[in-house]
Amino acid sequence: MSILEIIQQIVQANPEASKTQVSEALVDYIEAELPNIVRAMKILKTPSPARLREMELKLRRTRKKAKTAFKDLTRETEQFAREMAFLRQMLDGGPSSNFMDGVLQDGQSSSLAPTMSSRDSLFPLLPIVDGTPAPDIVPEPSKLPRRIRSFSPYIVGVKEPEEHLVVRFMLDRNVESKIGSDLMFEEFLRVVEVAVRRFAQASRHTWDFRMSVTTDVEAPKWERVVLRIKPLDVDFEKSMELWDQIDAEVRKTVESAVRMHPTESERITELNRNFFIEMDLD
Amino acid sequence: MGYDFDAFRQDLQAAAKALEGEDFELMNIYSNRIMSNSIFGDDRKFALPGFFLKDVSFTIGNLKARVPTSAFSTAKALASEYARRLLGQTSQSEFKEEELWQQFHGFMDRVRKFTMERIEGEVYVQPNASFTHEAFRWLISYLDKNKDTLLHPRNMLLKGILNEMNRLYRNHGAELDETYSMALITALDRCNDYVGMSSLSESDYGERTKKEVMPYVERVISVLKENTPSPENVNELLWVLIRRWRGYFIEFMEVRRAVYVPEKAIELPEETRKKLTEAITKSLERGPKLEK
Repeated sequence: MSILEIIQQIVQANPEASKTQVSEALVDYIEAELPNIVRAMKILKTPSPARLREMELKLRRTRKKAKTAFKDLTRETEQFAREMAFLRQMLDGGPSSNFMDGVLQDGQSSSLAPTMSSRDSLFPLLPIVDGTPAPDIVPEPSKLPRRIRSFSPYIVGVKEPEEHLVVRFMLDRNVESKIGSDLMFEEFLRVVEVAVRRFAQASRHTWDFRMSVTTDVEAPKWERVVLRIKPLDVDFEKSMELWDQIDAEVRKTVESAVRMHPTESERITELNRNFFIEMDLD
Repeated sequence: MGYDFDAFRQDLQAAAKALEGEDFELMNIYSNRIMSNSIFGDDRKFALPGFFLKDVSFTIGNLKARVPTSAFSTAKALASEYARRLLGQTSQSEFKEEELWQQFHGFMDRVRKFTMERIEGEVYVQPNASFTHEAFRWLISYLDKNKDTLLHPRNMLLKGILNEMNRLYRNHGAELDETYSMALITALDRCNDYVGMSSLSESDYGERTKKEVMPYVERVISVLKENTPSPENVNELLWVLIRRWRGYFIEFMEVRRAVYVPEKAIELPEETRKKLTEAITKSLERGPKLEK
């Protein structure tokens, strides 16, 4: 429904209201709805550095005017995307850093009460209670409301939450049991999982990981821990390349873990020897 | 009437299933349910698994939210093992509170590494529980000296103390005494939140805090001031606080302003409002065109 049609409905429903009253009601409505609009808006994707470089090369032989227009458009798009991301971040509770408060309040020191970081808590404090989870905790009205005064300035470093590129990271029951009963194994897997997830995230491909404990028919007592990896959106050749890379990355991370735990180096080395990364070709 | 043991087991299984399904909101709800159902009777030990599972749901839920860089799956496996053992420990109605505490403390001590930031994980490799112990004692003493701050309607004293405790616990590890301390302060803070939420004015807040919170603050300080808190005293006081907290839930339902978050609204500048009003007014003035 267009805004004009909405206005038409309001006028029809309120024949006695003056034009100013109708327009004020509309402004109030729009103001109340703005947060939802901002949340629902699709943010333009900014081109990657590689894509930008490619475009720059293509534009080398074009006129200066076209180059300038392209640069302006890129800059504006990026600024718009950042500001939208920033707005959404603020609407979702906002960053707790004083830097952000400083920016919002034109560098004046913030008089806000500190925001609690739930992740900074082993007994986190977000009050979700029996009955209905309460994600929309509203502040006490007298508690210094923070409102967004301006859509600008340009905020460096604000980005949309990262897209999760690991579709699944599944551990079978045997792996879970080993984690529960073996502290070093748990530490080893923690290091491996962080390395694998970081690699997956940096690769920009989507992944499926499954970890299991397997035994060999010829050596039934030899338990191997196998991580089966599957990049979901790449061809065979690229898969092989990624396999090499992820294996190298994980081994490198494990080596640095060995250096951090010198007294446990033998045990970690042994765990590393029995840990295999295999490509899922199904 | 008491908490029927079959119902208790069902509630526990529901929480464990929610954990398996990675639904941490539901897990939290089922954990609260265990505590709520426990107040129908007078056997305090039934509340403990609910109290512990609630914290597991928060801890693992937070890791899930940080999943691109956290070892969420390994941590969740650890939590699943914890839940399985808890189910095993409570398979008979005559389970021991102390064993539940030991198991929970073991889980919290292991999972803390997963909650560290990358740099923290690289630096705080060796635990230093004695430092945590001393720092906790300092914080309890700080609470004792500054407890009147709790009468201020905008105070964050309990949350501030918990924040320091969390950081120390996470980076340096801790002994069971510190898990007791955090449990009691957390339970106290949950009651305090309800007083803040349901007070009608600043003076009402002060009065109610004096009446409803301060007596518990005194008791918590008295129990935790001991170099080694008595498990019996901890269990009894935690039970009192859980009962009060679930009572508040019956009276007021969800806490709606326990934690300060910025107001989620966009205020249009006066100038923009004026322009928008003018623009809309002008389009209204072109009324006949709307009929097309």
